Amino acid sequence: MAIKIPILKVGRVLVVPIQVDMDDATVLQLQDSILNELERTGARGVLIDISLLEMVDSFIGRMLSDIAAMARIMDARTVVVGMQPAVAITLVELGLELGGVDTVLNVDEGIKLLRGEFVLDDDDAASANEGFSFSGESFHRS
Amino acid sequence: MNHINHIRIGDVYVRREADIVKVRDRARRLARDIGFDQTTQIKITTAVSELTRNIYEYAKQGAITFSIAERAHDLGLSLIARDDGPGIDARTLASIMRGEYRSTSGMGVGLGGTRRLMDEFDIDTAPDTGTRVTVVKWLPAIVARSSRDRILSIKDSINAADDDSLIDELKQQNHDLIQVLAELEEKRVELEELNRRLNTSNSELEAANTRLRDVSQMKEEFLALTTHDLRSPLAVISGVINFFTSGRLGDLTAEQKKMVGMMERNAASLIELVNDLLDASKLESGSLRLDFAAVNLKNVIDEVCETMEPLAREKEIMMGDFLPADLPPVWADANKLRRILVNLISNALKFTGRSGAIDITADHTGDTVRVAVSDTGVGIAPEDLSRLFDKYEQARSRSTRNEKGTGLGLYITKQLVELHNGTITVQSELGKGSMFAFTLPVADAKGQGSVTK
Repeated sequence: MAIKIPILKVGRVLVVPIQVDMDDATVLQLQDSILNELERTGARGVLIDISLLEMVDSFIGRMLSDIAAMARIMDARTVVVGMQPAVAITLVELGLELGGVDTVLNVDEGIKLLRGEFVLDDDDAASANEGFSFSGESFHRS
Repeated sequence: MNHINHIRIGDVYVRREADIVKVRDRARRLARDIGFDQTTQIKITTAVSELTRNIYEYAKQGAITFSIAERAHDLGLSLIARDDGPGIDARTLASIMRGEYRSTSGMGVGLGGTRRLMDEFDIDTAPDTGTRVTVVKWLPAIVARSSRDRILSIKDSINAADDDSLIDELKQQNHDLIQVLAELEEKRVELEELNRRLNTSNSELEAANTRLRDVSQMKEEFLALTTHDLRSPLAVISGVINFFTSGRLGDLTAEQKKMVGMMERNAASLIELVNDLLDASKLESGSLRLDFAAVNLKNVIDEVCETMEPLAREKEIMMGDFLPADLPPVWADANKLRRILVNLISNALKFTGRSGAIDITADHTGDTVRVAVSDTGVGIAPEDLSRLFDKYEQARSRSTRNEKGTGLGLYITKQLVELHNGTITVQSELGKGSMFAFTLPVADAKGQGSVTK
């Protein structure tokens, strides 16, 4: 009954747009998928877009922290983007600290931050120009 | 919070993980319908999520009751989360509320955070009585005033929707029941299979046991046979040595006497060893027969002391017996009793240094006689005491490795004492000496002991 959250690869960054309220199974499955994709693609950054997420409770907060910590061990940096102001207020009142997670305002800033993290070698430049691939199947924007 | 009036809207049961999302969704819609702004909606949703998660995690099931809270002119949304779970003890609760508690699944902010997100917070919990958390979020006064009637009427519309959810609930319960039944059936089949496998392995175990017994018996028989065969040539050897020492083959030179003496001593210890082995194997196979009779203990002790006397004199050890005059006869096999005493006294001699002392005492209480052999020898380390009567113990123990012997002596002694329905005990202190004591039954007036073996 878990909903599948897509993981997109853009250059050497995995983009994870979370668009629905997730149950716990989905959260755990997402955690697994991100780590598997990191291993499969050798991506160096994870960008989690929560701009459509209306609620971050302690479980989801912990999941975000965990993903960041695990990704760090796999040599990738995690950035959470697009948190709604109301969610931010709630997080602070709840007393939740997203330890080890970088947050930025929007996707553009997130990509910029992650790009700055690793040196753009030839390989990087090449894959960045390729467009983006979706779960391994690559197709070009037209 | 007593003066708050809760106008119940509906309940949502929490039984599955997916129910957390369901409760969240319900809370969000209600908060919106009542007229909370977006930030507050999110706060309420998050608080409900934490409460529901706690129910699911710690109590497995429970329910969330949604109500309209009314206090004078104030209106708000109230949530009651209740479960029959393990509850929280006062200390843990205090630590949770201070924000010091570390949860294994969330981030330990659930209850404390909920209190900060809501306006009213009340928790009623104790170990084994379940938990009931009541929280309220008040509407801004202006919203409450302007849409009071609309808010109070929300009750009805949601209640109508609730009927559906009741049927759903029933359906779900039915479904759960069927699932539980299926699981039970599965368990039963599994159990049957397990039983069958257990039976098989049981019979296998039995077969293995029988084989083991056979092998053990073969070993004993082999030991008995070989030791018996060893004894015959040894008897011949010691006979021949006797010829030399008795002088019947002419006088020996000093060198020859020394050599023959060496042969004699070694042949004697070989015979002792073979005898030990033979006795041990007989004891083990249960083929040792005791010839019980009323025995005069004093005579046997005197006799044994006499044969041991030369050895004691050689080491300048004082050996004496202290026996009361009224010692009754004991019910024993005289030969085996002698063997017990010889073993204990020769052990004492072996482990007692020059100019030591060995005492043999006896006393009787009721229908047992207790004989004790104490020495002033090296003593036994406490950690060795418990294994002392095990087979081949001396061979294993480091402290006595320099002494000759098979280590069977005490094992045989203990078995023999037990065949007499007696017990043997030891007290010892390292460097001070040891005392071995054993009991024997008194032979009664009819000349019969209580021995049945």
